[in-house]
Amino acid sequence: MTKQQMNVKLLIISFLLCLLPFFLKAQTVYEGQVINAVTQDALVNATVALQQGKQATATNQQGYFQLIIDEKISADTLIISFVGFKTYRLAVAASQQNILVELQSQTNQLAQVDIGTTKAKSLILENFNYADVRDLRGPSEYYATQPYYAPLVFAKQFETTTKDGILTSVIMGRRLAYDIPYLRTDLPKVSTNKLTRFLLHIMTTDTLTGKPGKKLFTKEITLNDNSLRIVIDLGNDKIVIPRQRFYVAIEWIHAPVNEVVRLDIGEKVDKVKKDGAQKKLDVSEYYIMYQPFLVIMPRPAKSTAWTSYDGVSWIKYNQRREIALSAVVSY
Amino acid sequence: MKYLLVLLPVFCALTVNAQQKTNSFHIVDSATLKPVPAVTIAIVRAALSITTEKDGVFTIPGDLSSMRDTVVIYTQNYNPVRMALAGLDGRDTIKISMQATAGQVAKLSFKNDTLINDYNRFDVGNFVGLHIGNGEFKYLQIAQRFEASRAGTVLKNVNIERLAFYLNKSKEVPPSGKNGQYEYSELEHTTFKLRVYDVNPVTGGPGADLCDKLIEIKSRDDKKLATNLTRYNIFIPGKVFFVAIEWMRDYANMGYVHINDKLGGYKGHANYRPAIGLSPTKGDKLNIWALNLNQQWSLYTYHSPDFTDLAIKATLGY
Repeated sequence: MTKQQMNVKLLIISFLLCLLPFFLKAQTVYEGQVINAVTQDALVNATVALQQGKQATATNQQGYFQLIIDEKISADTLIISFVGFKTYRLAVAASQQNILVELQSQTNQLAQVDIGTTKAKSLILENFNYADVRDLRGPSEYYATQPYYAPLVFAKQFETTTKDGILTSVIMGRRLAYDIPYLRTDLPKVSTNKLTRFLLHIMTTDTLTGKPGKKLFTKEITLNDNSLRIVIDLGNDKIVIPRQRFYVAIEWIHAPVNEVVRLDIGEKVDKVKKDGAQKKLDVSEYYIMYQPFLVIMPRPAKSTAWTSYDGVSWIKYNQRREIALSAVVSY
Repeated sequence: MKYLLVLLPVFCALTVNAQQKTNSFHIVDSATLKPVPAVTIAIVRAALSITTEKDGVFTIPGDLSSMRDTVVIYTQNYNPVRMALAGLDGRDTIKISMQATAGQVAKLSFKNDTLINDYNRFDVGNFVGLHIGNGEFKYLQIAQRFEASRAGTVLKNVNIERLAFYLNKSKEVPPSGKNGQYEYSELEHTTFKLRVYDVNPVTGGPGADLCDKLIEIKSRDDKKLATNLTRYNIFIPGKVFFVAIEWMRDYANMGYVHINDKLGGYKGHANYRPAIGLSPTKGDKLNIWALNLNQQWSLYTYHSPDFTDLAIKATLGY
């Protein structure tokens, strides 16, 4: 190689090195939900910050946060803090696409909730711990957590020990589409959509069949973020549960707002060579799915759930599994 | 792709002879008699549409003389041709004439920039261009209405969000038919035309073209399409203008969309890239317009009222 060629080579390398920062500049998003490890309640206004960077944000009413950084970073730490709780640190390299952070109380006393001192008593029926159930897999999981492979309506029965309780909230365990186990890949196979809308029904139990009966209450619920453990506050709706057994039902809405696009791949012939060999191109096949995707979990022995394609005729749900759904009743 | 219209006789409900006739047409410029590339041919009632390749050739199988439908032939800077499909019988060339243009505008230069219709791109999760209900998406263009704070600006830049996944580049399949080897993965390619329109004072929708040059955008490696338009010298005379995506309904852009029904079955149809993002920022009025196969603009209401704007942001110089 001549000296002139060397110089040209060095010039090109220097030029490429100068361009490197422009290629490396990319936005990074950290998002997740911060909850109390013991009560599983969302921690509102918890602080989420990068240790070295200047960016910080606070969690919303569902404990959800989104931190957008104008560069790609690999050696910083996410610090998540809330008064009365131990600070949580997570290396950004270990951060997943949507993290669930369970903060531990600093004292044991703070972790205990003494409901005996309040006027009304609260009970969480069919309680679940989101962190315990989010990674559960099942052979039919994909089919069970989204319509219309799954039905239009899912109804789960709850049982209270007292009459005339008031339903104050419903808790729902949700998955994001890319977190459905078979869609977890290095390269995304599904789009993300923060908007979700569905109907929540509270229903009686039919005295003859035990199936979902009359609708007592219906409310359209809209979710605007990617939080995973959803608390639907019904405190202002004054829903009196007239019988000891009632149903909470989720009805999917087949509307554009709920759409998520899943990629499947077909093939199309691009060129045919003289020897008959074919050059094939992948062709995208988009499948439209509808949110919300709900976490499926092992079914407790006494649990009863039904599904319906039309909201009228009901089919007994999978005998071994059910959807993560809790009801909070005060009395 | 030129043979996509093979479905046409089915829609026209005709008696087709056992040996089907094939009709090929060349679209040429009426003045130069040279082929016009990337022309869109829409069969209105059958709701079929394709875009020709560079040679301006397309084919319709069947007996044209007995087909009862309307064909619309159009491309940027040319007067649209609308005629009875039966009128094509016996012809092999279609001449289209160029529209009169306003002439060259002096090079525009402005000191300050303003960004309009901004949004958080990470919150873009819904897309236009995949389907309408359980059927195919049957629009030729989709346009975003912009309203600047002042008249007399220049359009310098647009950013568009699109839906794109990684696909394998290509696959070599030997004559034996055994599985071949894939090359590397890359983002779905797309090519489309960008159009810029003035407001139509009668309809309030897109009106006259504000750029007579062809703006063809090709993307191979990004979901965010940032396009510098300064070299096109696009002057915006009033406050209101439109930026539109014109799909090229050709082989390279074609994929499929499957929509499920309430009983769990899926129905598939052809689809043309790119699907365009909807802005997560909701405005107080609908600003999205769509051009149907019959060349008529109307407000695009399918994603309304949840979405009012496309995920297209524009930078204006003033």
